[in-house]
Amino acid sequence: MLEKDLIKKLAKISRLNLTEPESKKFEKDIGQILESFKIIEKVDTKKIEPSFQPFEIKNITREDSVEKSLILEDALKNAEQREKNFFKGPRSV
Amino acid sequence: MNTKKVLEEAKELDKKYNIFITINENFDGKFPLAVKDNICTKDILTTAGSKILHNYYPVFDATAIEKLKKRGAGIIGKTVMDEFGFGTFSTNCAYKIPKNPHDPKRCCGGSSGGSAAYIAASKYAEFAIGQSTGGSITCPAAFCGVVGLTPTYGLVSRYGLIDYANSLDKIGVLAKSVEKASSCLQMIIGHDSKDSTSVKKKQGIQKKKITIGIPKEYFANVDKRIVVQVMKYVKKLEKDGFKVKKISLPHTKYAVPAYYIIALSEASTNLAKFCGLRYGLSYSSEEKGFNEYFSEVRTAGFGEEAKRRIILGTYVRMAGYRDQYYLKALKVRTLIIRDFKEAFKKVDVLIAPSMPMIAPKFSEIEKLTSLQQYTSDILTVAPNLAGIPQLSIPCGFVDKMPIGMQILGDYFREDDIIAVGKQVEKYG
Amino acid sequence: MVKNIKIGLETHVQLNTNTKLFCSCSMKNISEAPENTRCCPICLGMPGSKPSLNKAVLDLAIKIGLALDCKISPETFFSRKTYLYPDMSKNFQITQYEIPIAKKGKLEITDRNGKRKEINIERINIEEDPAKLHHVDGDISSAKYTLINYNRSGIPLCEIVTSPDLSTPKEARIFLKKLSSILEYLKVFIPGELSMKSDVNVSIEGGERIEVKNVTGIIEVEKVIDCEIFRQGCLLDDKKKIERETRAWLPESKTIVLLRKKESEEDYGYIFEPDLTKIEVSKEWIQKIQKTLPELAHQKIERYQKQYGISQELAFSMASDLDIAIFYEKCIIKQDPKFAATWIDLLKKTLYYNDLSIKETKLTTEIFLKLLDLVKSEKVTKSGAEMILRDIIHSPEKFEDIIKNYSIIDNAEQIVSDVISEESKAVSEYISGNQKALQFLMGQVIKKSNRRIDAITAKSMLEKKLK
Repeated sequence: MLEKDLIKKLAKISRLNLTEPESKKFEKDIGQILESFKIIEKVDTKKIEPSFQPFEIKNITREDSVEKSLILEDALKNAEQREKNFFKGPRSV
Repeated sequence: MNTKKVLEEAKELDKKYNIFITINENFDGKFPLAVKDNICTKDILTTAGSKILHNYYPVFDATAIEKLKKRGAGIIGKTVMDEFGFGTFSTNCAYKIPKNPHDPKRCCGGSSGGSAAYIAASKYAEFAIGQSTGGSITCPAAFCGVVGLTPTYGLVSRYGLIDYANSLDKIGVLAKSVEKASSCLQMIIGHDSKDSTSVKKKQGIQKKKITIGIPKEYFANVDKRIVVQVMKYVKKLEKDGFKVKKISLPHTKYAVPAYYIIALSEASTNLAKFCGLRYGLSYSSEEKGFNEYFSEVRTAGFGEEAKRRIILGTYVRMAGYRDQYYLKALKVRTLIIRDFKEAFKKVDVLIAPSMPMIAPKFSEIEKLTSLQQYTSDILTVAPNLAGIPQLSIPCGFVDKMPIGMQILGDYFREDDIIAVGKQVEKYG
Repeated sequence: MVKNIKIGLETHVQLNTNTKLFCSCSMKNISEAPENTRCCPICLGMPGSKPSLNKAVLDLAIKIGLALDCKISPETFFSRKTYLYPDMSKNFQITQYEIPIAKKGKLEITDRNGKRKEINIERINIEEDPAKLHHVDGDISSAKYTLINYNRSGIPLCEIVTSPDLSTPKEARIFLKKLSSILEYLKVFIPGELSMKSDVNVSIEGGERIEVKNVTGIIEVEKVIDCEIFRQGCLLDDKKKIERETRAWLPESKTIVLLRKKESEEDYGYIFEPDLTKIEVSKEWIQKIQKTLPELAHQKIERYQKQYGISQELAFSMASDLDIAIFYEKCIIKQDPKFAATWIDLLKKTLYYNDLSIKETKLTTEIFLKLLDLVKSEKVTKSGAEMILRDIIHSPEKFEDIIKNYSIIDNAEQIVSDVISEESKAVSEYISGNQKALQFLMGQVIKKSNRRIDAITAKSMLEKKLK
């Protein structure tokens, strides 16, 4: 079982407001899931490198050539919160 | 193609089976294409199955869609899915839950449930676009009795696919036949400079004599009737000259935890962008601090499963836990990949059941815990972690419900699995 | 007196490339572009978009690393640093957390007394700039809401991180000036067009360090450090504890406000960036970049000594400030290197004394060379030239007028006679054998002539007349 505060802390970091019943449910669910994950501790991975991708892909870059940016209207197209030519957002503190 | 009839049918099927989030009234083209709703279609609503994108009209097409449009695809609609791909049964849907055309009391499988159901039920559509992270093409293909083709990671550009887990996501095909799946795949593969993980690899020449491996771990904990059905077809293949060998993939039992840890680590960062700015669900942002505002939007916009996965994903990459979960899982992934590498030294393809059960009833799914839902993915997560190509093909019925067998190949060996798949199709 | 001041800088420099770090939006005159017109799905973080790494950024970062004497990592990759903030287009920053492109370098600074100090460069990272926020109806902490311009989102940055080796605000300023100069010289940064911002870390008397984020430019950094030292000093005086905090500088009101305390420090949950690949930096690649490097300070010091025969001390003085070095190299096209070096050294000292850099004055090499010509042709005295220098660093445009006041005069005889008749007391003292009186008379001659008679000439004329 997980500590109650852990779920609350994770929810806060993730910017999610959980109700009390949700918190309790997640404690149970996530506790169970994490418990089952512990099985991987048994695997010997001492000399094993992590696989960040299914197979190694390396040295992919692009040339420094300009391509057209979006026109203003397309950039703002999906922003419900806008003011003139700016995106609108909440106070940053 | 009669666009009017196709459109009518789409609306009918949608009423019956809850297939579409959006039906494109302006649909026109050489052939109808249903697209899973996490793939960007220019100027057509793209929600990724979530309320948080209830109003997102992409200003660009996914590369795969661009290619299909060039070949004459007309987008008939955007199909229903588990929110962001988070689900095994297409029951974590913010809009509507698709019903299995074989039995509407049962689920379609997930997360590409809508696309699979459309192919199963439509007279006109021959293939549809889906996406797989942990098995989201194979599962609904098996449950709906259609063909599901998940290509090698990197073969199809991910540009324009709304990310679930970037090192695991692949765009793929649901189709009425192996041939149709293969044709569609040919249209969408190719290196894309906009996707740094897209590969230039040329597919190899198909082998003349293909050996089949049967991984024993993939037959344990599976409905016995499914095992029997799959083995019937394997026997037929053996009779027709395919060599069959027993194989072991010893790290299979670690696949579900490794998969979920890696996938959710990536997913929880991918979903951070949804916060009521620039696009998607939003509220008035005046007189609010950013934490308050972001929390308000995300709480309202994400469903329960998305929240659970974000929290889990945040945990396993947090300082203090990162080593024992995130980094450990990545090492286990290496071992799982090695299992397949070793197997493909001995055989050309692997055959196993696609799913351990037939499509469950909605009433059964309600009783499952989250953990039980996650472990239902046991047969599909390992091939997805490895990024190898997978073909799911119908192989009979159990309890009047279709079941599927999956044919797995080595990297870029789509030709091998397609060849075996075509043979299996001949058996009916 | 505050003791044990430790200052560390994390300086973010926008790089001079054609396109952004992960997308192909144009960087040309980007600071002037109308809002939200240099954006695309990638730098707007639109769902479905993926980053694509600009090779030129790697080239420039390696160049900077080499110029700062760093070790270039043979392999590097990017990580996601996840935190939700209004200026982040994806709410994660793609940055180099595990393996920076370069590390363990150094930059030597000299103060105006010639004292040298080595500042360690811990690491150099590549990362992306966030969007620009405009706080409406208030400042960062009191605004009603923010307006966001994503032109800046995705601009490539090099983050240059020092060890806490700086000890005074002035040292920080000298460090940043030198850094800016080098980066400009490398053509990786254009002051005025591209920005340089620092996160400033300050601790005093062995206490916790305070971070003040996003301080633009160089002068502001010095001000911020001054403020912080004072603020922390006051806290200690009041016997209050200094707690680990993150603060922000508000340039309009010249205040530092609290952003967050240590307990609420974000956990960034770093993961490997799965949309990008590992980058191998081969020896060949590094050599290729090395060849494009302009001559650096230590190379100039050696060459000046060999080629121009100037002393090591003078060579160091010429080369340690790149702007001075460029000025010198321009001057010696038309003037003797040894002669020029002595005078440029003097120019340098005059500048430092007046807290100016050569760039900040509008003194051109043409004017400076004119002055040297006057000295060489003895049309001004040496001390006259020194006075002229002090004036022309402030008003080089008035050069012709200024030199009028100091050019050697033809009525020197008259001035010496005038002084002799005016200073009869000193004259009699000298005649009685008091050498000091001669010094005094020499001083008067120099003064009266407005330094247009030099000491040697004054002495010999006085001695002659008073024989």
